[in-house]
Amino acid sequence: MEPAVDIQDLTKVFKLPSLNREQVVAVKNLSLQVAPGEIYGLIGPNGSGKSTTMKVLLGLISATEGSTAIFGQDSRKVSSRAEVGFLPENPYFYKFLSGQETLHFYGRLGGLSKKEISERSKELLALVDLEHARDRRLSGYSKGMLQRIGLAQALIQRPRLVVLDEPTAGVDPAGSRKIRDLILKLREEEISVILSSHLLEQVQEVCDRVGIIFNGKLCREGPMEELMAIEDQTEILLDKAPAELVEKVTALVAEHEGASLIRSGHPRTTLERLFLEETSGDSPDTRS
Amino acid sequence: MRVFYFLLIFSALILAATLMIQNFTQDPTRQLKVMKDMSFFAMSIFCTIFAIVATANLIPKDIEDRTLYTILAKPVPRFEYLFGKYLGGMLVIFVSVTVMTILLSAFLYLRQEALLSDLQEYMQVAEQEAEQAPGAIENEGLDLARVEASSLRAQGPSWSLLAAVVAISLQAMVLGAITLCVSTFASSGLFTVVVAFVVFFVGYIEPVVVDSWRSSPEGISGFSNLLISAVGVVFPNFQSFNLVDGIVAGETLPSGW
Amino acid sequence: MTSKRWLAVLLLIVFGAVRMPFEQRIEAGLKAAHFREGVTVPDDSMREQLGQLGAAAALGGFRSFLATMFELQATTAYANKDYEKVSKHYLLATQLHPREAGYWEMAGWMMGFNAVAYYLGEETEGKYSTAMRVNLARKSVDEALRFLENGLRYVPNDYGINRNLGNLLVRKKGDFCGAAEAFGRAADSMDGPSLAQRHHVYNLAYCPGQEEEAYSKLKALGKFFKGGPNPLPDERIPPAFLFHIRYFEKLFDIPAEDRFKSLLDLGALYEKLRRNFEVGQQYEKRHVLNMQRLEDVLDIPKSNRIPFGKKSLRPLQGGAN
Ligand SMILES: Nc1ncnc2c1ncn2[C@@H]1O[C@H](COP(=O)(O)OP(=O)(O)O)[C@@H](O)[C@H]1O
Ligand SMILES: [Mg+2]
Repeated sequence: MEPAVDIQDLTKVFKLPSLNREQVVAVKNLSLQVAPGEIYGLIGPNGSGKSTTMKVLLGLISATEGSTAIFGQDSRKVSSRAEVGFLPENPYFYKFLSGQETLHFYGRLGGLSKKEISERSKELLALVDLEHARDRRLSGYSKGMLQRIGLAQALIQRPRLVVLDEPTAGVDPAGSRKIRDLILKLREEEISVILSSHLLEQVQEVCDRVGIIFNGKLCREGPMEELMAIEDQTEILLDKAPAELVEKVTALVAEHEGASLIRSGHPRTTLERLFLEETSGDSPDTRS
Repeated sequence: MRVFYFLLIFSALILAATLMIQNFTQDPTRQLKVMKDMSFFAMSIFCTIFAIVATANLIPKDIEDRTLYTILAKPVPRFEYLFGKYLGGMLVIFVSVTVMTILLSAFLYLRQEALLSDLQEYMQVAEQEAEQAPGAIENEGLDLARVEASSLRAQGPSWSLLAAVVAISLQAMVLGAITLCVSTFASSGLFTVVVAFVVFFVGYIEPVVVDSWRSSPEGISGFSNLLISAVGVVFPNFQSFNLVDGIVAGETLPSGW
Repeated sequence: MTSKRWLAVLLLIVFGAVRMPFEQRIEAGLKAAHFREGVTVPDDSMREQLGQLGAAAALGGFRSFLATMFELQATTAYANKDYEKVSKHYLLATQLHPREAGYWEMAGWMMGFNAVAYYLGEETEGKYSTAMRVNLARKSVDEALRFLENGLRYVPNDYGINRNLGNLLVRKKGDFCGAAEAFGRAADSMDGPSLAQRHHVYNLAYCPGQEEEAYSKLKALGKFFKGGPNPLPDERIPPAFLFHIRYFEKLFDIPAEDRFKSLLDLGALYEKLRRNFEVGQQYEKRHVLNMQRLEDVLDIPKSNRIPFGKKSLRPLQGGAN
């Protein structure tokens, strides 16, 4: 089966519009594949070349060297974009359109008929939980809502691949979780996803496979568990353990040659989890 | 929306011109001419400025807002995107020009009818007087009224006015296309607007300047001739669209146009 | 990237080269159809008056509009009796839009009649010396003539320009031959009988060397009056026509049966008119000539005639005053 994404030896060099012909190498010899139905996370700090890779993949900018293809079709061909949906980083849409109209517009661009669009946009507005805002203009949408209408727009022509550039950047944790849930729903529908992020935690819950990109080069790549596991350490979490039991365990560890206790105490909940617990109950979307 | 306001101002302008003009000329033909002059002035200014200013930012704005990425990520050829943007801009111009033309024709027609019926009345009285006055069959007033009536008829709404409107719109289309083209590689909106206006002025003035050079007794040297050809190759001749003055003066359009 | 850029430049040049012949053909067509008259690079004095913006606008298809604006200013100047400005603004209007006959016509009228009436009228009495006022009036007539004659170069068949020119020549220059020509052109621009046609004939009647032409045209006019389904009754025959045709009938010794049939009494007309003439008054040359012609036709003895002298003529009647 054709890979959903096939990037071979991609190099992208930007010429800066200055007199001394300065150049920026945004991506260097990058190769990666995403299998159909797979969710792939591209993580790396700002400026590492994630967006550039995605833009080349979508044919928005041309590769300096190497090639990219979507389901076997060269990205430079217009037809390769029939199978893909894209949510750019911090997207803006036409502010004067309502949510419904935005979907209609992108549906037409995707080559759908009016009837298909009205059916599909109903589905998608339900999926991204924006039915209540379908007739509101986008100028009144919050950041999270924009991101979700952007996702709906990307999905309008039922693409087999979705490219999401920093889908949760700038969105509050509740909004991020909604988006994460949506991505998981895509997995159920066997839609391939390639998403980028500079925050590891946001990727870890949804991705099957992760690539770490730094300075335009892919440094590490592999299944999530592999990258995350620290092979020679083991974690034991005890519930309602009396102090004596903890002392016993500690003594037991000390007796064993080669093993050592690194840390014991009360685990701290993450700030994110705390935030989510405190603001749980569907938090209303607010204007950003 | 802003276009709508402009159209309101436009019709107010025609009305104002009509009212104002009655104070300074009794010549009915002139009244119609002034209406046309004012309207075509407004129309040309609107089309020229709108064609440049409104198209200059169409694409840069899409790029800046990254809307362009979402659009081109759909299976849309770039040419279609450009052409669509262009047509969108032009559509606004066409609609406004159509509305303006209808307004102008309506105003012209109503005013012409009113003036003609005044004239008819006058002619009847003058004819009766002429019949009773000893020794006169025609009189000066009657002569004038006849001439006036025939030129009044020629000054009303006509197909040649439409030709002037078409010329103005075509010019706007060319300007819009040039502006859109420049905007795709310009570094700023201001740059685009300035370049477009420069192209416009050069294209307008160059043919006239060259013409007066050619007709000057010294003629032009070979090098200048080369230069002129070079300018002519790069800049479109906007004088080709300049029909308004001739048409308001009642000239008939050459067949080639 | 660079090769694409070269391609763009190449396309631009090829397209330009293809475009040029079309443009030139359009330009030639428009020129032939008078669309380009008035489109010139404004000369220094004109540019000064138009201003930078105006000069650009003049080139940019707003000549007609600018001309309208200048006529508006001319009208304001006329209301203020500033005829120097009237002339200046009309000069700009006519230069910007020379194929618009109305500007030439109005300019001729303003300078030839309104300005003259102002300079010779009560308002300037005491303000300037008489000689100076006559001089200003004469200059103004010359300006009017220039406007009208220049206008004819652009729109030779215009009724209004020719009519104003005819009136100006006969009333402010005493030039009957020129007036006859101008009225002739005005008449030709209209279909059917017109007053302009009669003016043409009456002026021709005073043009030396044109006597036979004048007589034959008067006869044609007579046929028009008396022929056709509704011949005019005698009392409606224009007296001017009658004394002119009688004059030529006498001049050419036309036998009685071939003369124009009319019982209208020119003697009574003469008596009536004579009562209105006063010695010491000033008259236009055409009125003096009319009276003298009537006297010729009626064979009034020299001693009984109205004693017109040089002093009986108003200024600007082609004489030396
Ligand atoms: N259009 C461009 N012109 C010049 N440099 C660019 C352009 N786009 C991106 N870059 C540079 O390429 C590098 C990678 O950028 P990007 O792909 O946006 O990173 P990321 O999305 O990982 O934050 C950065 O150093 C950035 O400055
Ligand atoms: Mg990025």
